[in-house]
Amino acid sequence: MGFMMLVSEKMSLSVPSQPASVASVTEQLESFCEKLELPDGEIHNMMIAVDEAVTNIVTHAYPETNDGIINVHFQFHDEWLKVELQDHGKPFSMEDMPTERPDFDLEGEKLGGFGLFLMQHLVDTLSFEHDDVAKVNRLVMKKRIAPGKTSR
Amino acid sequence: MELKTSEHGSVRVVHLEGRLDVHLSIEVEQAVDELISSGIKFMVFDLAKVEHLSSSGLRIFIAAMRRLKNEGGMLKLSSMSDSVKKIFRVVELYDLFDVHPTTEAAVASF
Repeated sequence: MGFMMLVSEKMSLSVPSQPASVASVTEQLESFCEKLELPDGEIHNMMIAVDEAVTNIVTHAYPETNDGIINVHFQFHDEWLKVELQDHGKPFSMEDMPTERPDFDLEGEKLGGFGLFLMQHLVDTLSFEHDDVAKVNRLVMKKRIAPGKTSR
Repeated sequence: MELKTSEHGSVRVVHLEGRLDVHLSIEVEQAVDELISSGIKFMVFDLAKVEHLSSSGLRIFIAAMRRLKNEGGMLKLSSMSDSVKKIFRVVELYDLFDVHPTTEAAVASF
Protein backbone atom coordinates (compact mmCIF):
# COMPACT_ATOMS: atom_id res chain seq x y z
CA MET A 1 0.00 0.00 0.00
CA GLY A 2 1.32 3.49 -0.79
CA PHE A 3 1.38 6.44 1.53
CA MET A 4 0.11 9.97 1.31
CA MET A 5 2.67 12.35 -0.15
CA LEU A 6 2.73 15.76 1.45
CA VAL A 7 5.15 18.48 0.40
CA SER A 8 6.14 19.09 3.98
CA GLU A 9 4.78 18.34 7.40
CA LYS A 10 6.20 19.44 10.72
CA MET A 11 5.67 19.03 14.41
CA SER A 12 7.53 20.25 17.47
CA LEU A 13 7.36 19.52 21.16
CA SER A 14 9.39 20.08 24.31
CA VAL A 15 9.76 17.49 27.04
CA PRO A 16 11.61 17.32 30.35
CA SER A 17 14.85 15.39 30.29
CA GLN A 18 13.47 12.44 32.28
CA PRO A 19 13.10 8.73 31.53
CA ALA A 20 9.33 8.99 31.10
CA SER A 21 9.88 11.40 28.21
CA VAL A 22 11.28 8.63 26.03
CA ALA A 23 7.81 7.15 25.65
CA SER A 24 6.22 10.60 25.13
CA VAL A 25 8.54 11.45 22.26
CA THR A 26 8.35 8.08 20.51
CA GLU A 27 4.57 7.96 20.80
CA GLN A 28 4.28 11.46 19.33
CA LEU A 29 6.58 10.40 16.52
CA GLU A 30 4.49 7.32 15.86
CA SER A 31 1.35 9.43 15.72
CA PHE A 32 3.02 11.96 13.38
CA CYS A 33 4.14 9.19 11.03
CA GLU A 34 0.82 7.32 11.10
CA LYS A 35 -1.03 10.47 10.03
CA LEU A 36 1.29 10.61 7.04
CA GLU A 37 0.61 6.91 6.45
CA LEU A 38 4.30 6.07 6.43
CA PRO A 39 5.17 2.34 6.38
CA ASP A 40 5.19 0.62 9.78
CA GLY A 41 8.68 -0.79 9.40
CA GLU A 42 10.18 2.63 8.68
CA ILE A 43 8.27 4.22 11.55
CA HIS A 44 9.55 1.54 13.91
CA ASN A 45 13.17 2.02 12.84
CA MET A 46 13.03 5.74 13.49
CA MET A 47 11.16 5.20 16.78
CA ILE A 48 13.92 2.98 18.12
CA ALA A 49 16.63 5.41 16.95
CA VAL A 50 14.78 8.29 18.62
CA ASP A 51 14.30 6.21 21.79
CA GLU A 52 18.06 5.68 21.95
CA ALA A 53 18.82 9.34 21.25
CA VAL A 54 16.41 10.66 23.89
CA THR A 55 17.69 8.05 26.34
CA ASN A 56 21.23 9.32 25.79
CA ILE A 57 20.21 12.89 26.51
CA VAL A 58 18.21 11.86 29.58
CA THR A 59 21.12 9.78 30.86
CA HIS A 60 24.06 12.04 30.11
CA ALA A 61 23.18 15.61 29.12
CA TYR A 62 22.07 17.06 32.43
CA PRO A 63 24.02 15.28 35.18
CA GLU A 64 23.63 18.08 37.71
CA THR A 65 20.04 19.14 37.32
CA ASN A 66 16.57 17.61 37.10
CA ASP A 67 15.01 20.40 35.05
CA GLY A 68 16.74 20.00 31.69
CA ILE A 69 14.56 20.33 28.59
CA ILE A 70 14.69 18.51 25.27
CA ASN A 71 13.27 20.27 22.20
CA VAL A 72 12.09 17.85 19.57
CA HIS A 73 11.28 18.60 15.91
CA PHE A 74 9.76 16.16 13.44
CA GLN A 75 9.64 16.93 9.74
CA PHE A 76 8.63 14.99 6.67
CA HIS A 77 9.71 16.64 3.41
CA ASP A 78 10.42 15.27 -0.07
CA GLU A 79 10.54 11.63 1.06
CA TRP A 80 12.80 12.37 4.03
CA LEU A 81 11.71 11.87 7.63
CA LYS A 82 13.85 14.06 9.87
CA VAL A 83 14.02 14.17 13.65
CA GLU A 84 16.02 16.86 15.39
CA LEU A 85 16.71 16.82 19.14
CA GLN A 86 18.08 19.88 20.89
CA ASP A 87 19.32 20.17 24.45
CA HIS A 88 21.36 22.63 26.46
CA GLY A 89 23.31 20.07 28.41
CA LYS A 90 26.65 18.36 28.22
CA PRO A 91 27.77 17.86 24.59
CA PHE A 92 27.93 14.43 23.07
CA SER A 93 31.06 13.42 21.20
CA MET A 94 30.71 11.81 17.79
CA GLU A 95 33.96 10.02 18.57
CA ASP A 96 31.86 7.92 20.95
CA MET A 97 29.79 6.64 18.03
CA PRO A 98 30.78 3.02 17.45
CA THR A 99 31.79 2.00 13.96
CA GLU A 100 31.26 -1.66 14.80
CA ARG A 101 28.92 -3.63 17.00
CA PRO A 102 30.20 -3.37 20.61
CA ASP A 103 32.32 -6.31 21.74
CA PHE A 104 30.25 -8.58 23.85
CA ASP A 105 30.35 -12.03 25.35
CA LEU A 106 28.45 -13.62 28.19
CA GLU A 107 31.48 -13.94 30.40
CA GLY A 108 32.64 -10.34 30.01
CA GLU A 109 31.82 -7.32 32.08
CA LYS A 110 30.42 -5.27 29.22
CA LEU A 111 26.66 -5.20 29.32
CA GLY A 112 25.72 -2.51 26.87
CA GLY A 113 26.88 0.05 24.35
CA PHE A 114 24.25 -1.07 21.88
CA GLY A 115 22.21 2.13 21.98
CA LEU A 116 24.53 4.23 19.83
CA PHE A 117 25.06 1.29 17.49
CA LEU A 118 21.29 0.93 17.02
CA MET A 119 20.87 4.66 16.38
CA GLN A 120 23.46 4.61 13.69
CA HIS A 121 22.13 1.52 11.95
CA LEU A 122 18.44 2.30 11.93
CA VAL A 123 18.62 5.68 10.17
CA ASP A 124 20.20 6.82 6.92
CA THR A 125 22.06 9.84 8.23
CA LEU A 126 22.99 11.03 11.71
CA SER A 127 24.77 14.25 12.59
CA PHE A 128 25.59 16.08 15.77
CA GLU A 129 26.73 19.62 16.37
CA HIS A 130 27.41 21.68 19.45
CA ASP A 131 26.71 25.41 19.10
CA ASP A 132 29.12 26.98 21.55
CA VAL A 133 27.51 30.43 21.28
CA ALA A 134 23.93 29.37 21.90
CA LYS A 135 25.10 26.48 24.15
CA VAL A 136 22.85 24.10 22.25
CA ASN A 137 23.44 20.52 21.16
CA ARG A 138 21.66 19.42 17.98
CA LEU A 139 21.29 15.81 16.97
CA VAL A 140 19.68 15.26 13.57
CA MET A 141 18.58 11.87 12.25
CA LYS A 142 17.13 11.34 8.79
CA LYS A 143 15.55 8.40 7.08
CA ARG A 144 14.47 8.29 3.45
CA ILE A 145 10.99 6.88 2.98
CA ALA A 146 10.80 5.90 -0.69
CA PRO A 147 7.39 6.19 -2.37
CA GLY A 148 5.55 2.90 -2.74
CA LYS A 149 7.63 1.17 -0.08
CA THR A 150 5.52 -1.43 1.66
CA SER A 151 5.39 -1.97 5.40
CA ARG A 152 7.73 -4.58 6.88
CA MET B 1 7.58 -4.15 40.65
CA GLU B 2 5.37 -7.20 40.35
CA LEU B 3 6.08 -9.32 37.29
CA LYS B 4 3.46 -11.53 35.68
CA THR B 5 4.76 -15.07 35.86
CA SER B 6 3.44 -18.59 35.49
CA GLU B 7 4.93 -21.85 36.74
CA HIS B 8 5.45 -24.87 34.57
CA GLY B 9 7.15 -27.47 36.74
CA SER B 10 10.64 -26.16 37.42
CA VAL B 11 10.34 -23.57 34.64
CA ARG B 12 9.15 -20.07 35.45
CA VAL B 13 7.68 -18.11 32.56
CA VAL B 14 7.94 -14.34 32.88
CA HIS B 15 5.31 -12.57 30.76
CA LEU B 16 6.91 -9.26 29.85
CA GLU B 17 4.75 -6.58 28.32
CA GLY B 18 4.55 -3.03 27.08
CA ARG B 19 7.60 -0.86 26.67
CA LEU B 20 11.05 -2.10 27.66
CA ASP B 21 12.87 1.22 27.52
CA VAL B 22 15.02 3.15 29.99
CA HIS B 23 12.02 4.14 32.12
CA LEU B 24 10.95 0.66 33.15
CA SER B 25 13.78 -1.67 32.29
CA ILE B 26 15.73 -1.09 35.51
CA GLU B 27 12.73 -2.09 37.60
CA VAL B 28 12.07 -5.12 35.43
CA GLU B 29 15.72 -6.13 35.65
CA GLN B 30 15.63 -5.88 39.44
CA ALA B 31 12.42 -7.89 39.65
CA VAL B 32 13.91 -10.60 37.45
CA ASP B 33 17.01 -10.61 39.61
CA GLU B 34 14.87 -11.17 42.70
CA LEU B 35 13.20 -14.14 41.03
CA ILE B 36 16.57 -15.68 40.28
CA SER B 37 17.72 -14.99 43.85
CA SER B 38 14.66 -16.93 45.07
CA GLY B 39 16.13 -20.05 43.47
CA ILE B 40 14.58 -20.16 40.02
CA LYS B 41 17.06 -21.59 37.54
CA PHE B 42 15.00 -22.20 34.39
CA MET B 43 13.25 -19.24 32.93
CA VAL B 44 11.37 -18.29 29.77
CA PHE B 45 10.72 -14.67 28.83
CA ASP B 46 7.42 -14.55 26.98
CA LEU B 47 7.67 -11.52 24.69
CA ALA B 48 4.26 -11.75 23.01
CA LYS B 49 3.06 -8.50 24.56
CA VAL B 50 6.29 -6.53 24.33
CA GLU B 51 5.43 -3.54 22.17
CA HIS B 52 8.71 -1.68 22.17
CA LEU B 53 12.26 -2.78 22.89
CA SER B 54 15.35 -0.57 22.99
CA SER B 55 18.91 -1.19 24.16
CA SER B 56 17.82 -0.54 27.75
CA GLY B 57 15.49 -3.48 27.43
CA LEU B 58 18.20 -5.69 25.94
CA ARG B 59 20.08 -5.33 29.23
CA ILE B 60 17.29 -7.26 30.96
CA PHE B 61 17.81 -10.28 28.75
CA ILE B 62 21.59 -10.17 28.86
CA ALA B 63 21.76 -9.72 32.63
CA ALA B 64 19.27 -12.54 33.23
CA MET B 65 21.03 -14.87 30.82
CA ARG B 66 24.36 -14.23 32.53
CA ARG B 67 23.03 -14.68 36.03
CA LEU B 68 21.11 -17.87 35.24
CA LYS B 69 24.13 -19.33 33.43
CA ASN B 70 26.29 -18.61 36.47
CA GLU B 71 23.70 -20.37 38.67
CA GLY B 72 23.70 -23.45 36.41
CA GLY B 73 20.39 -22.52 34.83
CA MET B 74 19.15 -21.26 31.50
CA LEU B 75 17.05 -18.54 29.89
CA LYS B 76 14.97 -19.00 26.78
CA LEU B 77 12.87 -16.47 24.86
CA SER B 78 9.51 -16.99 23.21
CA SER B 79 6.88 -15.32 21.03
CA MET B 80 9.15 -12.62 19.67
CA SER B 81 7.42 -10.17 17.32
CA ASP B 82 9.08 -9.22 14.05
CA SER B 83 9.92 -5.76 15.37
CA VAL B 84 11.60 -7.16 18.50
CA LYS B 85 13.40 -9.78 16.41
CA LYS B 86 14.75 -6.99 14.19
CA ILE B 87 16.39 -5.28 17.18
CA PHE B 88 18.05 -8.51 18.26
CA ARG B 89 19.31 -9.10 14.72
CA VAL B 90 20.67 -5.55 14.23
CA VAL B 91 22.82 -5.84 17.36
CA GLU B 92 23.64 -9.44 16.43
CA LEU B 93 22.31 -10.93 19.65
CA TYR B 94 19.57 -13.12 18.17
CA ASP B 95 21.80 -16.18 17.81
CA LEU B 96 23.02 -15.82 21.38
CA PHE B 97 19.61 -16.74 22.73
CA ASP B 98 17.47 -19.87 22.42
CA VAL B 99 14.35 -18.40 20.81
CA HIS B 100 11.09 -20.31 20.36
CA PRO B 101 7.93 -19.34 18.45
CA THR B 102 5.66 -20.11 21.40
CA THR B 103 5.95 -20.24 25.17
CA GLU B 104 4.78 -23.85 25.16
CA ALA B 105 7.62 -24.80 22.81
CA ALA B 106 10.13 -22.94 24.98
CA VAL B 107 8.97 -24.68 28.17
CA ALA B 108 8.96 -28.10 26.46
CA SER B 109 12.52 -27.60 25.26
CA PHE B 110 14.02 -27.68 28.78
